[in-house]
Amino acid sequence: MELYTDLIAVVDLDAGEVEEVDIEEDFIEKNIGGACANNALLSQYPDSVILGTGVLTGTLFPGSALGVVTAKKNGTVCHSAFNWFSGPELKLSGFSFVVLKGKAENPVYLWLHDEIADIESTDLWGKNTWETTAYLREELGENRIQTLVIGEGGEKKSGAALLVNNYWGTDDRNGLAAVLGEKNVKAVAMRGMGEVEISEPEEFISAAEEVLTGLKSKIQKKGAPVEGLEAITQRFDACFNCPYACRNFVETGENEGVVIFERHLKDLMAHGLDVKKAAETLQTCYQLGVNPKYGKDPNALTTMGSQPAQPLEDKEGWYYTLGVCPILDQFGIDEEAAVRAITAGTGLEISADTLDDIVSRL
Amino acid sequence: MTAELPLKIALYTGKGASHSWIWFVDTLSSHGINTIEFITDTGDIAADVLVVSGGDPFALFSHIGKHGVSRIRSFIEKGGTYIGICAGTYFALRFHENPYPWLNLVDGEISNFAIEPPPNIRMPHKYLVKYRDGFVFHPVREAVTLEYNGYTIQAPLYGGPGILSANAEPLASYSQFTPKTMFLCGKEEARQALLGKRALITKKVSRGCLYLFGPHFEHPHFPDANRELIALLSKIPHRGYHVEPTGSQIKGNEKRTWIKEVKRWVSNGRLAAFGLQNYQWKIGEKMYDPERLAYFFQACFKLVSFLELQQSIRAIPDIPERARTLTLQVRNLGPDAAQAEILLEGIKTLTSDLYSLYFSTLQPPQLPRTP
Ligand code: SF4
Repeated sequence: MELYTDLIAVVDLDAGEVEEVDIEEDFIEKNIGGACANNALLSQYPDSVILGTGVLTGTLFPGSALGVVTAKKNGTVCHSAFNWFSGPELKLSGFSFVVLKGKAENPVYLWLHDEIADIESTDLWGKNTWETTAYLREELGENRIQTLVIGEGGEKKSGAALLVNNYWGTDDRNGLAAVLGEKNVKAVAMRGMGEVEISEPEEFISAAEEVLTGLKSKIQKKGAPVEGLEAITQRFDACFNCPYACRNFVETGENEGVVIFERHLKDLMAHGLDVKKAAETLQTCYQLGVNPKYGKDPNALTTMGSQPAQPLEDKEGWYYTLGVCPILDQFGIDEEAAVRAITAGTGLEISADTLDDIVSRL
Repeated sequence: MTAELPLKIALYTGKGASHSWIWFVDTLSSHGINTIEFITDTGDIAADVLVVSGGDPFALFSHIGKHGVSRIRSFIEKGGTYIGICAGTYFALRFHENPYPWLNLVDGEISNFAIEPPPNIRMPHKYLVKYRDGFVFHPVREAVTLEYNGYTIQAPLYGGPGILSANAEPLASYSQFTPKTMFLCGKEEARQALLGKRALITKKVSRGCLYLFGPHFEHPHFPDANRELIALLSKIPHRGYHVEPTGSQIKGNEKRTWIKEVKRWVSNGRLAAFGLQNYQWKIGEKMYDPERLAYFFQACFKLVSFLELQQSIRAIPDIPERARTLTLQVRNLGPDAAQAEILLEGIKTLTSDLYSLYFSTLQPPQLPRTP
């Protein structure tokens, strides 16, 4: 299927087995991708955690860094996002979607590479997210491996658990790290050299370039707009193929620092911390895999009770389906060009109305 | 009657051979020549052609040894064809009163030997090899233009010689540099060292023959040179050697399990090899970098991906375990050249075994050998 790598990994954690299922065109036509496709897979495999990529994830389309994790929490279907390079890496590992069903008897990590999904038992339980990522990269021999990791928050099934991508917090607003913890999944490591095919490359590239030109004309800044942050910033980083380097890197010690996710930093400042202290605390939150939305004491956050689900807001469902970062919405993405990119990329006749219709089911 | 049997090529992949033999295999295979046997010693060459490709001629000799050299001589004298490319050409040439007991079947002088070579301007690790009282130096790398059969073609040079004169028939000479030529010394010095010098020579020895190439006609990005190489091979007489299939036939679940395990470890090895950074290992007289290792794993991955799509394949039972061992070696590899050499030899053998399985899977059963 164009714009996707070929497989869905259905990981049976009870049995320790993986089934590889081909992605059918019909599935994409009906669900497009990302959150919508995850929803469909969740109906098919209830009580699973689904990792999915959007239809544009990992392509030349600007901001196409997004992957989506979907699971039911307290009976509600919840979506959280991850980006940086992990969305594209998941797709290029050969698995555009991963279904984690059942529960592993003992802690495991999942290693996705070149259309192989390995369930590896591990004694990483109890290690923080930084140690876990460093260990996996060392063990598997490749620094470009992207990881989705849970820390103490996820292991203890805290309501404030936060999924961490490598070393930095994701937008896991629904604490789905705790659901991975329930399943005894410590981490998902991803690396692949797969490729996605494009049905009509020239049309696709032209639509993507149109969007990029539009975005570039409006992006006048770098970093997160947080008062005092720029003064303590050492550099600005961007996720895969994103024209807006919204992520500030702030040094927190010798050879140490944290990549800021704006909302998390603002949460800590709302709890009364100054920007520098907030950045330092955020680093600890990421190491422990906890979300500062619920408090400023990272240790206390590892044992929080259940928190209400955070539904997708405004146009987020649309972005979560496409696999494009919703932070770019402030610059006004040309939606018509995005739909053209999907049509040219997949070769499917998908109109803006059809897309809206599918997204409205979220 | 043995005429139905295709040309059989023995390709040396043992110590001293670098990765360029993969180019040779891929190019021949893309032209439908799949009767290649991989050999790591030259004790008994049961083939029409012996190919010794790029690498390190010092390491080649120290592995092949005097006995191996005399076997190659006898192979040629009995009607075999020797194709030397780059290191394989140095190995066969007696130049500057070569003190080494190499093959030495063609007397000649090379133009890229000097007591005081021109100053090096880039890639110092690729520039010089100490030789006798001077140095073999490599004035350029990448694409050069050759005059061949009255017209021009391009082929890349990665350390092969310019031949000044030889008691052999010249077939091609270096005529020009190209925009892609990379100069390792000044242009004028490179011009003097190479242009007008012989790039390909041939010589009959007893009933056999040698073809000695400086540049890599087999490099897959040079289709014109590839065509000439294939044309040259097509003229070599077939002497009726049978190619034995490698491994045993498997299908169904057995095949799926085997291929999955091989793919798992080749993928892991490939990713770890691409992840290696900042190391260089001196093996023999040649510098190796992680890219070379990754190249072998990449070739293995491509072959496994092909086998994965077939219903029924040839397989060797211990390949998954060997691939796993190699992957663990890559993951643990540091600056130690001895470890790198063990790994290099292991991955070469795995690659050649996978190529053999690929060919055996492709090939219809051959006619039985006629006594
Ligand atoms: S806007 Fe920021 S978070 Fe979103 S993809 Fe770009 S760099 Fe990443």
